[in-house]
Amino acid sequence: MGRQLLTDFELMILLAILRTGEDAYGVRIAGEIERTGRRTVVMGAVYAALDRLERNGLVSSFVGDPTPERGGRAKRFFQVTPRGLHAVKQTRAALVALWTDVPQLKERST
Amino acid sequence: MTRSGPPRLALAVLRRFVPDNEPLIGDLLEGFAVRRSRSWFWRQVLLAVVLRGVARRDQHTPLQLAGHAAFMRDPRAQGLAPARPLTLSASPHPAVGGLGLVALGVLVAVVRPHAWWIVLPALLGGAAIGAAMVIARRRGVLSAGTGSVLREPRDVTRR
Repeated sequence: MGRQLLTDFELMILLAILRTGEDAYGVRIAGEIERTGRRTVVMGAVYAALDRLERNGLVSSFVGDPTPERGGRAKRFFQVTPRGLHAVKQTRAALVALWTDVPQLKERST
Repeated sequence: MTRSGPPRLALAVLRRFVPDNEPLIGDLLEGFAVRRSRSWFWRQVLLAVVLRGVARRDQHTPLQLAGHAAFMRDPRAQGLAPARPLTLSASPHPAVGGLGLVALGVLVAVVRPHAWWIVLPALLGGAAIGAAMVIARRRGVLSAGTGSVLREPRDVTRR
């Protein structure tokens, strides 16, 4: 399995899917990023990133049943694949390594 | 009377330019039901259309004829070309190229009316090329093997 690092937005999306669990569809993923990541989200950007992640095999999706509150439109649910989980861990390791021993970021102990 | 639903024009724009993403449309409708903000809905729709165009830009080739070439019928070439409809515009969105020509015509008519002759050759040339293609197609000049290169674009890339 090759080394694959993620952009910050891709990382946020994968983490949001993992945090949301089985009910991870567009609205929930965007809401999780807005609440936890404190970042305004455009739904089209979420879907563009999700399509890219799915093409790269980092997430998988399936379409659920249509619901009346969505005008009869179905939800598309997303799951993180083992490859996606591996990419998240790799990215975290790279970020932590970069974070470590940066003098400007060291907090004072006193 | 107050309107409680999402802006109809925004929905029409979304259906026109993002036609194959029903879950996105459903998500925006669900988001509108919670936020009740027409400006939010419009912003989401316009950005979805722009992002859709950007995402398709890399896949887009001039005239989009490459995927319809006769050699793509070779089984070894199957899967190399994305399944997309044939469009002769420079835009990833069907019919937008035609709208651009109309906009250019209006612009010339308003700003430089005496330069009408710039648009005329393009119109006549486009009509002539279209007529030539129709004639050639009827005579079978553009047909190859079991079907026309221009007639059955989807069959070429169907897996």
